[in-house]
Amino acid sequence: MKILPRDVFGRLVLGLVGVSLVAVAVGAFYLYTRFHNTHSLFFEGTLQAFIGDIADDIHVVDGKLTANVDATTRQRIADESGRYVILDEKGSIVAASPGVTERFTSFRTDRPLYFWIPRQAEEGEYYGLSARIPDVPVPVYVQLMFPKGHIIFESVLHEFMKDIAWIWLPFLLAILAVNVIVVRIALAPLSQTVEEARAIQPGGPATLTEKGLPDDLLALVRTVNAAFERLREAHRLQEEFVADMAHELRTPLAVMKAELATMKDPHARILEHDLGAMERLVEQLLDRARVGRFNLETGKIVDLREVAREACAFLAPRIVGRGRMIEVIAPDVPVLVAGGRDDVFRAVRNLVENALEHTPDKGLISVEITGEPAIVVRDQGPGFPAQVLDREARRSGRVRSERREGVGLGLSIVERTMMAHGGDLTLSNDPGPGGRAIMRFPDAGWLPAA
Amino acid sequence: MRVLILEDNSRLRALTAGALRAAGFATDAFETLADARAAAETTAYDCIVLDLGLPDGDGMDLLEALRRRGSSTLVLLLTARDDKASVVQGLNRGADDYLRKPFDVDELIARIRALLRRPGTAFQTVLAEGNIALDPSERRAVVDGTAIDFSRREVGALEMLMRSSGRVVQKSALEEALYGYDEEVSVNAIEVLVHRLRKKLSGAGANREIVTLRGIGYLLAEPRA
Repeated sequence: MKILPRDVFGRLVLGLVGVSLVAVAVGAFYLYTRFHNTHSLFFEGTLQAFIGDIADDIHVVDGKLTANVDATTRQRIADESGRYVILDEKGSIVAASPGVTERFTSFRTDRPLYFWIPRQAEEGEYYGLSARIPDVPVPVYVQLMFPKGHIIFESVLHEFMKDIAWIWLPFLLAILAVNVIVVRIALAPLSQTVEEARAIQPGGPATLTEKGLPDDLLALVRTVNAAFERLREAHRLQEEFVADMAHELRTPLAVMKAELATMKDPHARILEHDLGAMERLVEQLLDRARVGRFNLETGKIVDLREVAREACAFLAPRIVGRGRMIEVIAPDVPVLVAGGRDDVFRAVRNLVENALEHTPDKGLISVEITGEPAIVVRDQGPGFPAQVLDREARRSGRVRSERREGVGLGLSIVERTMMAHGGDLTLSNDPGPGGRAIMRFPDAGWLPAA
Repeated sequence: MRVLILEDNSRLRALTAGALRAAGFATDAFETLADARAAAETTAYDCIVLDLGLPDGDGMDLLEALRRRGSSTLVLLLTARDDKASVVQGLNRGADDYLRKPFDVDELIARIRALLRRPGTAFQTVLAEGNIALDPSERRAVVDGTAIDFSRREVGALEMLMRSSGRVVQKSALEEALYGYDEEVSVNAIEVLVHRLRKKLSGAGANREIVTLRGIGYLLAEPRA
């Protein structure tokens, strides 16, 4: 259906316009018929009154019929463009209006007969009454007719249109305007729900507000919320499965590690390195599952300097052991954000581990805390590949990193964490070369003037 | 020194126990909580390495039973659980340290040694890292067999670094440990102190060096060629 508007609002307005138009048409038709009926009664009364007046002037004197219609009556009939004819028993004209040479219709009826003469050449329609005059010894008939578009009717209709009918238009427009406003008010909760649904992000809360919704919308929103809940549950189960699996992997990894440590074979050292990579992957799977559980503590106040320093201190022995260096550059004043200490720690750890994987021997990993507030991690590696730099591609999960193992996973952990904190992760490449990752937090306004 | 290890994975248990024995610890290894509990009640262990998830219960129960009895045996937790909550819970219930699986056996041995050296424990002996040896009670340091003349604060700094071997010592921690609250500390006092200490160590031919991590702290590590 192309005619129907695509939105409910449009459809309701269209429907209401239709209803208004029908109501106006029905109202007008009703008024017209009522008016017409009244007019007909009134008209018939007029015909009868005129015939009564004419009858008063018909006398039978000594068996001879005389009909001297009073001049006033004749004038009144002429004024209304009416015509009359008086007929005797045989149908011969006893008296008539000027110009009338024959009777209008059959006359031998004892009951009054209303008649109608259709339009003829140069003549309009006529409506009339043929009746026998009572109280006269010989049968006498009077036929009287007026043009159908009677002047009274015309003038009354004209007055009606002039004084009253135009009110219909503003009245109709007012009704429409009120309708539109009412519909808009009624649909307001729906647009609010639409806004909420639009704001739903992966990793964020996914519930539509049920409070204040009308019952019919509430049913829909409840159903959607229940569906969200089931999806979340399925998601949670999957995350739990991943977490459990990662947990289970730890013990066999520990066995392999202990076993390898006892071997003197140089191959064992190579395997140890590979095992380290696996360990890191398992760690990231766990991190990812934790971030995916949506229960990040973002409600506390954290000093970014402290958390970044802690994470760097945690990783420093490994970094130094691999012949790389790390530094932390921080302002003297606290950089406070609302967030979860463990979550920010985990995010920084992942960025630094990632940087470690790509920093060349004797290279420096630099972690800078700025008052933006943000944590910037720079490495001296080859930089991020193009498809990782594209945030949309990253969020959609389409990126399969070309960098070494676990980079995509690590970045998605950071990305998720930042989204949960209302911030974001920006990746760029320095000409140095080197990769630069910026964890940007929303400014909570707690920052002392730097 | 006697160590008890409770780990349900048989290969990990055998390997870890083997490594501990090779490192000179008299080691008893158990698979179940019940066996370990029976052994701990009859034998005085210096250190217990405790796995948390066991087939017949939670290692935490043994820890609690030990502490209820008033035992001050050092306890190191091994955990495959990654949530901080369970680690914090373990430490609160009286564990002395923890390691997450998968761990380095060498790190486990180093941690046990560090635990045993803690001040207040009966095993506070000479600290050793590479060819550096330090007797904290006598404030005497020996590098590569030669006694070195360190100032009081230099020895203090070296002791902190050696005690937390393999971990970063934050600059603020050094400051707090070496200077009293009422002492004026110049902005670069620690830098100067560490610089002097580093020069003396390398001058004496130490095979460990103090790495300065800007904005983080200091780390005693093996120098890399």
